[in-house]
Amino acid sequence: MAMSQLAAKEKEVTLLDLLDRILNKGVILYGDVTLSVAEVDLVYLSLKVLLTSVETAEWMRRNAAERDLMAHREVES
Amino acid sequence: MARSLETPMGDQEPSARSKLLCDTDSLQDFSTELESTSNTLPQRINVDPEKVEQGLAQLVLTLIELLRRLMERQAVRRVEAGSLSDDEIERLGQTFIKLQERMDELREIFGLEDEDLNLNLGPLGDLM
Amino acid sequence: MIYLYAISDRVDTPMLPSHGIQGAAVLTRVYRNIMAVISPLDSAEVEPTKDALWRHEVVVEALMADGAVLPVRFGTMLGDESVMKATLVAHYTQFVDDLDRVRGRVELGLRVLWDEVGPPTDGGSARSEASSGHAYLMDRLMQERQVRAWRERAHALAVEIEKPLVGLTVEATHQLLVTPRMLMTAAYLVDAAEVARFQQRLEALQAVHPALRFMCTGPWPPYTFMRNPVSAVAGRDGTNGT
Repeated sequence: MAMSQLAAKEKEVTLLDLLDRILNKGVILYGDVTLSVAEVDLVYLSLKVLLTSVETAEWMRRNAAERDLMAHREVES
Repeated sequence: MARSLETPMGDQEPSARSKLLCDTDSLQDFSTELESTSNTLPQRINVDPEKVEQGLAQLVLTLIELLRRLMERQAVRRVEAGSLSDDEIERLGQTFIKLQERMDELREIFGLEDEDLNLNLGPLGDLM
Repeated sequence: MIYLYAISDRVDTPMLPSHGIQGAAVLTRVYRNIMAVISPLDSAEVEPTKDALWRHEVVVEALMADGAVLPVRFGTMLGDESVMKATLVAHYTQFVDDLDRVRGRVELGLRVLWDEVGPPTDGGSARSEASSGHAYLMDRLMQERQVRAWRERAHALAVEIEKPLVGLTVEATHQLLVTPRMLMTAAYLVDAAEVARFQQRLEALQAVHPALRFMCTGPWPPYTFMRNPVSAVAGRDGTNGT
């Protein structure tokens, strides 16, 4: 790939990577806040936030269970 | 009062320093995957009047398809657990066959393909 | 309306871009030892164009340069200055705690591709031509088992990949198989001083797993490690949705 093509590809991938963070994550305020992205997009965004949260919660729960198990084993031995 | 950096109104991307921390030859592959994931904004819903009806049908049928898969998955789990009689298995299976046929008909009526209804649940697929 | 970029602890004068979203001025509003970075806007809508996204990011990264920053989700707008102030007051303690939590730390992103595209990912998307109900469900059962085994392989690989990395991370999240080819998508909160070592361990991992493709990005402001403040401003006590 030519240098300029490579640079363009890098920028594109970096932007896509940034998108995920900046649209779905960061501090999310509720209440007296307007999310200024159009209504329709908001629904998709909420779904994605939900998907992310559920997965993270599951992962943490699984990890917590493993830690508990380890702790339990240590106590027993 | 904050001191200011004059930023050119044009190219706003932060310094030429790349955000890529390790070399990869697979930029194109990553780009393709990233674009197809639900991590990017979807296309705006088409407001062309002719397409609106199809867009709504797509939404509704996708949800029905999701439910169908959920139910099938539940049935399969009960088959695995051995909690269904042979008779129940046969009847359940027949119902799902009919459901699959019905979905095919509906899709055809609205000119939708299998891929149009494919809800890639990503990590959530595991949790259902 | 007030566009909010981030919350920062740099209440002295950090170097900030003079213009941000829609070319508006970038301003700061201090409350005790924290600060909101904002732009007053006329319109209530901000389209997530490439330009707007980068403008937002440039402001947040300028703050990250010498202090702790809590990046706010793109497009967050508050009604007016009084709402802005009320938000800082209402969530002050959590903001201070979070700033402490991320001070001196950055976010690194990792994505890994693999070639095991696997069976139809969500089962039921491959047609069954069975004519008996029993055979149909058996087909589905077999598919289900293939998918499960596939996911388990992904999980095992992800654990292996993270082993040399977790020691360097303060916090970590990951998702598996967001697409069939994307084995894992992860974000790590790492001490800025450890970034180089993290990179080295990644390079070692790449050598150990030649069939996998790794893409590491960063350093980013810690978007993925923000906690959502429960709103007290509007007088609601709802859950914060996470």
